[in-house]
Amino acid sequence: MASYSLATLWFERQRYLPGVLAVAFSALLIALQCGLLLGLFSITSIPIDHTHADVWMGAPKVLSVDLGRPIPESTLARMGVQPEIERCEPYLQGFAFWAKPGGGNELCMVIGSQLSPDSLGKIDKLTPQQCGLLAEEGTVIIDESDVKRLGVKGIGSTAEISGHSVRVVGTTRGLPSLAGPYVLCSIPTARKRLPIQQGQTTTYVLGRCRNATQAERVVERLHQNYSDVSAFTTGEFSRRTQLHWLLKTKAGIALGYAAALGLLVGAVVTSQTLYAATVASLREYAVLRALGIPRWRMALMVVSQSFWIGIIGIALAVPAGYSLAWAADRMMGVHIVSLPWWLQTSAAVVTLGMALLSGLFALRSLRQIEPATLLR
Amino acid sequence: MIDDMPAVPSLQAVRLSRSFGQGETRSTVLHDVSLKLYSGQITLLMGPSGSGKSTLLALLSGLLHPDAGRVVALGQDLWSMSDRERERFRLRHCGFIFQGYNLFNALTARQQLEMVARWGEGASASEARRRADEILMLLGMAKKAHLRPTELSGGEKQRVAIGRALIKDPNFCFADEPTSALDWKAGEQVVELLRSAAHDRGATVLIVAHDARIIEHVDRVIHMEDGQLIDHDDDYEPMLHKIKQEG
Repeated sequence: MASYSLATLWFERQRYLPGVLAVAFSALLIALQCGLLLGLFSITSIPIDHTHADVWMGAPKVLSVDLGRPIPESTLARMGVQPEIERCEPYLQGFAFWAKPGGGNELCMVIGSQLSPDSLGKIDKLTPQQCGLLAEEGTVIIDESDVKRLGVKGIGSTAEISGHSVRVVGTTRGLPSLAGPYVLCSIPTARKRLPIQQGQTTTYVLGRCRNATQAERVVERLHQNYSDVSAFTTGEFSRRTQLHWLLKTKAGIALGYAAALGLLVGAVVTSQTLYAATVASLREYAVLRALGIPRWRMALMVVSQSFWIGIIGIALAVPAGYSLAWAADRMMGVHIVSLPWWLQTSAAVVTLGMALLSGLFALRSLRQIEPATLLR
Repeated sequence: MIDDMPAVPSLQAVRLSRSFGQGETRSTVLHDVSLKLYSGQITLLMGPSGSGKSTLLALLSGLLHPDAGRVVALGQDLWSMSDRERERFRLRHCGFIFQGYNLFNALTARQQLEMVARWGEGASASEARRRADEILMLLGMAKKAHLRPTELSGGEKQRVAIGRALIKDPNFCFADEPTSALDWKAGEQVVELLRSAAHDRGATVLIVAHDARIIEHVDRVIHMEDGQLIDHDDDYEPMLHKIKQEG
């Protein structure tokens, strides 16, 4: 069966090309849209994914890391008494307005953490030297991709956050932002510039377990004992943050819609290609029907062709996807399209399913086979 | 071969009628046609265009349902079978050759034959190939087994179409204008191959054609006009068979 299908596809490749390209287009669109979505939303969980805590404790029912609300700093003790916890510390994060030196404001995300070498909340892109510089009150580090957006010239520039001056003492690479540029600093610098974090409060309490596998047990116990806070393992909070952005923003819906549209276009073109190809061979199929060959054999041939169209289309789409993702990353200057193997596999499976479904839909052409017409 | 010829017809049409269209446009194409065909014989059905030859062929071969009458093939009433049973009957016993060659453009001559053996009987790849090569050799096409239809002449394509019909070693072989698209040299070869299918393989071969040059190559000629057989002996039995019995 495969040899007849492949022989037909190859011999009549011009006829089948639109179907193959439609499948490739669909697979590419799905993979890139989802990869872009994944890449974009992984930016939202950077504060979680690039720090070293095992447990995050914050305000009740906090939806995502950037939506943290103040909780009393005294809650540190709750984390500290857990037998599995070997270290805990406060962590401040919140939106604030960055006043550009040349005028105008930009919303930014201030992150204040401890800066010691074993700090849990310190972003791992910070070098020990940068941590040393941040110890001085009023100093901040921003990502080099946000320098322009924040209206500064780079290291040495000054600006204001919430009316308090800040001086840029360094830049990081590969810390892209979505809602507002990340501004990294010490806890005292952050507290002064986050109006809602005045007094003895913190946004999160971070904890590290002696053994990372104990994090779930700690989270469970914190939930049982305290209703005025919520706690998550690092993985949970990262997924929760990304999911929140995925579901609550229109970007997720728009990208998903475009991917679905791509799939539909692929299905229609593939189905029509197979339909037309089958109709073009109706007389040959009619001879086989006259010879008593059951219709399901021909149906299997059409579905087999749709399978191979799917496989060839996907084989074209995978390298094209990686190339375009690489080009997009280069163009944007940051890693924006994420194409993990499971995403490529899922896109391939969905597209192959679409191709097979198109084959099944094209089977209606076989109803037109009527051997007696060969004798008229 | 003739010695083994059975006294009973292998294919018998009993008072077959068939019309097309409805109401005022209804036209009767076949009217009360009865006919007996015997295995090991090649029969030519002749007649002008529109005389009903192809319709009779379609009815006899189980492709088209008659309005009235019966078709008895190998002792079984074709039109009292279910569609599925009739399909199985055609699969086991019938080979067809049509006016157009109707070969798959993408497949080689060998693959066209293999496909029928593999899909029809579930033959293994090696078995199908062996049988396809055997038939192609008989048809003088062994050296062209690897060629596709676009690389073959009209006569060669028709030989592949004959091979496709014969690979099942059918009891019946129905051919509709098999020589109409060929020059006489190629056409004569095609008719000889069909004659050999009847005489050497014992098949019941029925050819529908206009070409009078075929007459001298067949065992029996039946004429048809306006949906009826002309000067036809309903009790016909093969002459040689009678001679043998008398002897």
